Amino acid sequence: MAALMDLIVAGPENHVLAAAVRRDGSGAAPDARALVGDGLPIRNPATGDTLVTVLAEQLKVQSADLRDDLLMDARGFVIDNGLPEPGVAPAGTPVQLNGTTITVTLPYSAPSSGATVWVYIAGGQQPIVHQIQVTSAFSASEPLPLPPGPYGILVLAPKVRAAVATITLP
Amino acid sequence: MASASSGGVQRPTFFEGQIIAAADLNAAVETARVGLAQHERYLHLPGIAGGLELDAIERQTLNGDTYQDVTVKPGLAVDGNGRHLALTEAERLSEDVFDQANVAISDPAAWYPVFLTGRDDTPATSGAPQVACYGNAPTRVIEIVEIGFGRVEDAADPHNVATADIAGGPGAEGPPWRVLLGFVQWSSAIKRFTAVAPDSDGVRRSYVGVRADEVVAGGGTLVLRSAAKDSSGKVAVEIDGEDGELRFGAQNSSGAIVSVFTVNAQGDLFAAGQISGAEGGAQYQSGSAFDGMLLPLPPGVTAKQVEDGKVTFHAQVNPHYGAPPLPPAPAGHRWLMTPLECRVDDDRRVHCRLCWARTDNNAIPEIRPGSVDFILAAFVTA
Repeated sequence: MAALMDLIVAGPENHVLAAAVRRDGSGAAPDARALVGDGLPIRNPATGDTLVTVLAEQLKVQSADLRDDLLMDARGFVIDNGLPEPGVAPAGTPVQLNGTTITVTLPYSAPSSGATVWVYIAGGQQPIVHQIQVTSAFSASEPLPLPPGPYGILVLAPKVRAAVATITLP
Repeated sequence: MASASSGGVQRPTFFEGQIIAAADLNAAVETARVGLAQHERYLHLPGIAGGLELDAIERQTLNGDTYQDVTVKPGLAVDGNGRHLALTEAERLSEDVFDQANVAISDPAAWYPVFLTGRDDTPATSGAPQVACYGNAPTRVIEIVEIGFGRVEDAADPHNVATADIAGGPGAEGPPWRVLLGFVQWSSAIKRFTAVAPDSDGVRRSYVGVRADEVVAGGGTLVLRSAAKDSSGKVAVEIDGEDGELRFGAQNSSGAIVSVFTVNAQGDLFAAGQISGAEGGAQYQSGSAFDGMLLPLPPGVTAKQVEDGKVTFHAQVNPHYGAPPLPPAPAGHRWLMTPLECRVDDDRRVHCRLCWARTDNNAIPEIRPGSVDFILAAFVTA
């Protein structure tokens, strides 16, 4: 029985996006491309449609002790001090777009040093990876012009489980 | 019809009453010496027979610089001309000899080969006083072994050339044959050795070998060991003529092979481990994978083989059942998991979505990505 698992990790806060167990762990440790191909599709659970594809270059593989809760809910974990820990639930609306501005909201008040939120946005002409610094209170906004249309979004906020959203700009 | 030839070889023979000349005695000694050299040269491969390790002790100069005091342990080597190089006592590597060899380059991380060579030295006289008609010609030839150093590139190619003279003895003309003992690093600043190693850049101390197209066991079993019989854990191969088996495995403390790979005379193969990387066979991987991932390839199967269309996959996936990733259900109730999607596409990518519903019907069912348990068989074509 394999005692270790491979975690697919993204972003500077090391959000777990997927996990796998290889019962035969011999040979070289796989890199992200070996486990996700060109990228990892983050899908809308309700429809199965791909919202965002996180490119393999933006992912890394981390080994961890085998845990069943990680397999059941990989996207709910964040690596903290090298170990996977359950992330806190995201705010009710973690991200908002209106065509000119992006607003991210944290489920906690940002520390004085600030909290960097990574937002992966797909649906425009090309995918966008946007960073927003939340320096105080719970949310922050920045200009982000986007044309009308449907957008799939992945939000990675420090210590918060990965969140997905779909927004259609009129 | 066979033609007879002396082959240029003569050996002394004696008769009763013969007056033995010095040349006759020398010929007797030389015949044995040449015979042994021929045996070593043509039936064996040159190298270290035993000992001759480089031993280092860390020391400090008066200025506090750390260096290595290197000694070559006693041992025996055989060179490519069949000469025995016997170092009977430990010998310290000389910094002066290294410095005078003029092999150092500016790179302090460079590894310089340490070589052992041999030559004969014949003193001018025996040292005995000259009396009447007796001369004081030398009565001994000293077989000298020398420890020297080469340039960095000499380790891989020490320019050794064996004598072409079939009947030649071990003292061939030309540059002496160099047997590699190991490597040292050198500090030009303090003119000391700073490190020692048995190998460098894939070049290792060379050990003696055997030239043979056929080896026959006397007792019915032939064993090839990677280390001495009492080296527990070292691997060995055994051909057991009595049981009709070829066995491979590690030696136990008594030198017996604990076989992990056996082939018998009927061609049956027994392997304690896994067989991987073989073209034309089936390779397997199993485990679990989250939604969106590719099923991991079995060991030995490469992405290149997959890209080249040389691999056919057969995959079996089932939803991975486990504790629900949701708040606990009220007492007497539970979360029920229903797979909405559980499959692998042609790219080996997992599609797994699960619907979680509570038996008390007081919560909206949640749809979440999930994991599959899988078995992946890969059939690799040549």
